[in-house]
Amino acid sequence: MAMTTTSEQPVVTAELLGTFLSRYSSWLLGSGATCIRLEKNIVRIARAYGYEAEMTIMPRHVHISLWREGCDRVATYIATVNHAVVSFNINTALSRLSWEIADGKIDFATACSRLDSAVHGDAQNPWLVLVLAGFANASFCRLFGGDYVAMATVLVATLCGYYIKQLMLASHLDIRLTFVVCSLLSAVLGSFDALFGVGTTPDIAVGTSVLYLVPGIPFLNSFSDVLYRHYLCAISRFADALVLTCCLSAGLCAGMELMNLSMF
Amino acid sequence: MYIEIFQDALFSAIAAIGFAAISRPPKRAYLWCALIAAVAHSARFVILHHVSHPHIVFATFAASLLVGIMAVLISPRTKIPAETFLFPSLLPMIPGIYAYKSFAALALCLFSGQQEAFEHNFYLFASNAMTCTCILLAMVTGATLPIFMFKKIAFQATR
Amino acid sequence: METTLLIWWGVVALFMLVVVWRLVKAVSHHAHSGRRIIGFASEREEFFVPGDPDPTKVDEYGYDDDF
Repeated sequence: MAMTTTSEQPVVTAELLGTFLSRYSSWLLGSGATCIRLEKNIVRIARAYGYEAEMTIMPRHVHISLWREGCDRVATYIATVNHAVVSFNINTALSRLSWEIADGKIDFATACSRLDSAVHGDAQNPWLVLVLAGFANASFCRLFGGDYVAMATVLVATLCGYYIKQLMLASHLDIRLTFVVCSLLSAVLGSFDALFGVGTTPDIAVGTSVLYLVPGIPFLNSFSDVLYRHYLCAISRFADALVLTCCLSAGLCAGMELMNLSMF
Repeated sequence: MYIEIFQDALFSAIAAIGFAAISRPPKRAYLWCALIAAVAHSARFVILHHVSHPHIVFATFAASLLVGIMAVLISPRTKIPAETFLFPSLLPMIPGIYAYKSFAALALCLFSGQQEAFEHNFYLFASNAMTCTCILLAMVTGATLPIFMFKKIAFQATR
Repeated sequence: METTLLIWWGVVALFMLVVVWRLVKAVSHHAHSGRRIIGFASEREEFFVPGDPDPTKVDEYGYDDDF
C-alpha cells in the first residue's frame, strides 16, 4: 500500500483525527459494514496522517487509540455506534473516502466535509423502495413455486405491510413491535387465496408474504464476523437478527391462527 | 428446462433488486446485484434439480462461491467494495422460511401436551434451525472465500 | 369461517383507515404549506410600493431619539 507520510500532509492533531475517526467508525459500523472493513479503513486513515491505530470493536461502541511511532503518548477515543438503517451507499462512500485520504488526494478539512455529505446525502425515494420491495417479494413467491394469483396476493400483502413498516419506523416506534404488526398484517392479507379459494398455491402465498421482513444483512454480517473471529460482534448481530426473526414469526403465527391456517 | 432456468434467473434478479433497495446500495450497483443474483440463483437451481440433487447446503455453497468470485472480479472495475454486491446478491438465497418455521415449531413445542407431539415439534424446530444455520454459514463462507483468495483486489476496490 | 372472514375484512378496513388518515393529513398539510387561492392578506401585501420599509426589519426600540 502506498501511504503518504506526515511530511506530505499537514500535521493533524490526535484530537482532531480521533474525533474524525470516532464519527467515521460510528457511521461505518452503523451502516452495516463488517468489522474487518472498519479495522482496515481506520488503520489506513490513521497511517495517512502518521499515526498508528488500535481498536476494540464492541457491539455498541468502538474504542480507538492513536499514537505516533516512537512517542509514548496515546490518545483514546470512544464512539457510540450509530444504529441507523443498513446503507451500502454510506459504506461505499466511506470506504472510498479512506482511500482518497490514504492516497493524499484530499486534505483533512475536505475529508471532514466529505464525511458529512456522505452520511447526510443518503436520501432514498421511499415510494420507489416500497414498489421494488413489493415486486421482489412477489418474485420470491414465484421462486418458491407460487402461481400468478399467489404472486399478486403477495405483491399486495407486501406493499401494505412495507408501507406500515415505513410509517411506524418514521414515527420512531419500536422496531420489534413494527415487525410483529407488519408480519401479522402481511400474513392476514396473504391468506386471501386460502380464504376465498382462489389460485392453486395458497400456502406458498401466506408463507412468502412475510419474507421481506427477514433481516438478511444482519444474519450475513454476523456470520462474516465469525469468519474474521470478531465473536462478540457476531453474537450481538446474530442476537439482533434472531429477535427480529422471532417477532416476525410471532406475527405470522398469530396471523395464521386468526385465519385458521396451520404452518406444518 | 431452459425456460425454467430463465424464469428462475429473471425472478431472482427482480428479487435481488428489490431486497437490495432496502439496504440502500449505490445506484450503479443495482444492475450488478441483479446480474450476480440471477447467475447464482439459477446455478443453484440447476445444481439442485438437474445435476446431482445434492443437499441444499452444498448447492448454496457452490452458488455463493460463484457470487464471491463475480463480486471480487467486478468490484475493482466499478470501484465499489465487494460486500456491496455480495450481500444484496445473496439475499434471494437467505433461508427465511427455515428461520421462521423453526420459531413456529418452537412455539408449538411449548403448547404440545403429549410427549409424542412435543418430540415431533422439537424435531421440526431442530431440523429447520440447523438447516437455516448451515445454509447461512455456507453462504457466507462461500462468498467470503474468494475475498480471502484475492485479498489484494478485494480490499483495494474503492481506491 | 364466518369469524375468519370477519377478521380479514376487519384488518383490511383498519389498513384502509390508516391510509385514508395519512391521505387526509397529507392533503391538509399541503393546503396549509402552499399558496392559498382565497385568504386574508396584510395591507403591505396588497398595497406594496417598492421602497416601503420592511415591517420585520423596523426596529421599534432603537430609533434615534434626540435626547
